[in-house]
Amino acid sequence: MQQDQQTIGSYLFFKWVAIAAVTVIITFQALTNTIPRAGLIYDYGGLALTIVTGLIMDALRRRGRVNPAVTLLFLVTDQALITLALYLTGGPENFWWFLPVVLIFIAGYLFNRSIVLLLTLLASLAICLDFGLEYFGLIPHFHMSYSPLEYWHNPMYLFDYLFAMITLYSLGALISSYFSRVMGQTTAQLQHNLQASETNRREVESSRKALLNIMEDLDNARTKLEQKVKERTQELEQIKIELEQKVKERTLDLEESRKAILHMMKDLKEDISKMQALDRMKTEFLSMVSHELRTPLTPIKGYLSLLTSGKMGEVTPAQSKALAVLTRQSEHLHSLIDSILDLSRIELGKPIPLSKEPLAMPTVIEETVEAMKIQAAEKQVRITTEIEPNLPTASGDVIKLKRVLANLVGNALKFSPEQGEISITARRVGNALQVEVRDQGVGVSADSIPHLFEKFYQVDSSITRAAGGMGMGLPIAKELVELHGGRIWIESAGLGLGTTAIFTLPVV
Amino acid sequence: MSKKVLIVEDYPATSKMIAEILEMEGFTPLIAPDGNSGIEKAKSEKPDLILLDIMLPGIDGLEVCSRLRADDATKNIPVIMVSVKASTEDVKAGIGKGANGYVSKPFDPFKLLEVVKKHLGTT
Repeated sequence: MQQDQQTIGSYLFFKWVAIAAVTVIITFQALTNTIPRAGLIYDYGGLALTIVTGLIMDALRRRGRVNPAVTLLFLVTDQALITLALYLTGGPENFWWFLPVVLIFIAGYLFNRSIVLLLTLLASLAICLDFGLEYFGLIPHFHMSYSPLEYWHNPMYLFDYLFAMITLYSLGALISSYFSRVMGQTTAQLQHNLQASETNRREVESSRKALLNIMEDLDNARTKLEQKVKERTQELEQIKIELEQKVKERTLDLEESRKAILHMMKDLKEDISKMQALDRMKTEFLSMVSHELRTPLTPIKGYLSLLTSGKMGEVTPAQSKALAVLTRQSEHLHSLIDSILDLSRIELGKPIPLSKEPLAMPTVIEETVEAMKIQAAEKQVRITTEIEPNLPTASGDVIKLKRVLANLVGNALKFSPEQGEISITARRVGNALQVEVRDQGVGVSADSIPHLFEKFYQVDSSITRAAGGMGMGLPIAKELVELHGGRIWIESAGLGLGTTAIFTLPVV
Repeated sequence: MSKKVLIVEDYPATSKMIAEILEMEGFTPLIAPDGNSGIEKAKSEKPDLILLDIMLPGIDGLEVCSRLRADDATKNIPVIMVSVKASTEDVKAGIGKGANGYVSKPFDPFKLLEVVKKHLGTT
C-alpha cells in the first residue's frame, strides 16, 4: 500500500509537469495563431478534466484509499481524457497523438507490465476507433485551420499514422517495462542490502543494549562495592585508631617496665660485681689462710716428729701416747689446710696438681681405715671392709684418693651413732671400680641430696656443729674424683636410715 | 770440719727447728731471716748448702736463687727450696731458677735431713 501511494505520488508529479507543459505549449500556439482560438475551449477543458481527475486521485492517495483497481481506473480515465482531448483538437490532424506514449511510458515505469499492456492496448484501440469513426463520418471531425485536410482524407496517411503511433506505444511500453525491471532489480538489491544492513543494525543495537545492560549492572556492582569498601575502610580506620590508642598505652606501660627493669638490672649488676669482688676476696683469703696456717704447722709437725723419734730425749709411754694424739691431730689439721688450698684452687680455676700412677684400691682402703682406727675406736664404731677379690688396678693420685676416702669415712664417723658400723665395699661395676662407704647414721633427706656437693652446705647446722666440719669435704672430694675421670654421689633411704657415699674410678 | 748449711727462712720457729735437727746431725746451721741477708751470708760464709724459703719479706726466694746463681762466688752452692708453695708450677719455677731440690712445707724433718745429706754426699 505504501508502495502504491509512493508510485501514484510519482505518477501524479509527472502528470502535473506534463499538464503544465501542455498548457504552456497550447497557450503559446494560440497566441501565435498556430492553432485556431476557437478550439482552445476544448484544449483547456480537457486539461481541466485531467487536473480534476489528478486531484481526486491525489486526495484518495492521501487518505490511503488507493488500490490496483482504483489506480487502473484513473489510468484508463486519463488515457480516455487524452484521447478525447486529441479528438476534440483535430483528431488525425493533431500531431499530439504521441501524448499517450508519455502516459504509457510513465505507467510502464511505475506500474506492472499487465497495466502497461492494457494501457497500450486501450491507447491503440482509442486511436484506431477515433481515426475509423472520423474517416467514415460516424463522428464529426474538428478541422484544424492550419493543417491540410487531405491528411485525414488519405487512407494511406491514416494507416501510416496509426501504424507509427501503435508502434510508438508498444516501444514505450517495452522500454519503460525494461527500465522498470532493471530499476526494480536494483531497487530489490538495494532493498535487500537495506534489509541486511537493517538486520545488522538491529543486531548491533541489541548488542549495544546488552552491553549497556552489562555496563549498568557493572556500574551498580561498582557502586555497591565502593559503598562496602567505604564502610570497611571506616571500620578499619576505627580499629586502627583503637589499636593505636592501645599501642600507645602499652608502650607507656612497657616504657615504665623497661625503666624498672633497667633499674633492677643496674642494681643487679652492682650486686653481682659486689658479689664477684667478695667471692674473689674470699678465694684469695682462703689461699692466703692455707699458706699462713701451713707456716706454723711446719715447726709443730717438725718438733713432734723430733720428739717422737726420741732424739730429743727419752719418751715415756704416757708421753708417747700424747705425742701420738698430737701427731694425729696435726695430720688432720694438715689435711684440713690442704683441703682449703684445694678449694681455693678450684675456686680460682687453677689446676690441682695430680700425679697419675698405678693404684691398688685395697691398699688405699686399708691404709685409710688404719689411719682412722683410733678415731673410730673413740666412738666405738666398727669399720668393716669387703673387697672383691682380683679387683682391677686403677690409676690416680694415691694421696688425693686417700683424702677422698678419708673424707667419706670421716663423714660416716661423724654421723654414725655410738657402737654403729661403717662398711666399706670395693668392687668392679662395668668398666669402673666402685667404692661404697655405708653408715647407720642420721641419713639424708631426698631434698638435701642435690645440695650436698655445694660448697659450705650444711645439712643441719646443729648436727654439723656437733660433729664439726666446714662443709668443704664433699665438694673437694667431688672435684678430686672427677679429676680422675670418676663419679661421686650420695644415696640415702631417708632421715634416720643411714647414708651411702659412692665413688667410681675408671679401670685402666 | 762440719758442713755449713744456710737456712733462709723468715719464720723463726721453723728456722730454729731446722737448725736444731741439723745440729743433731753434726752440721753447722746458719740462719738468715730474709733474702738480702741470705745472699750476704751466702757470700761471706760460703755455706755447703742453702735451704731457701720462697715466701720471704723483701726479695723472694726465687729471686734470691737467681742472684746466687748469677754470682760466681755462690753459683755452685746447692740450693734446696723449702716452701709452703707445693704446686707443680712452684716446683718448676724453683728448678727453673737453678734450685737443686724442692721440699714442701710442712715436712717431716727426717725427710728433709735425707735430702740435705743426699746433696752434700754424706749419706
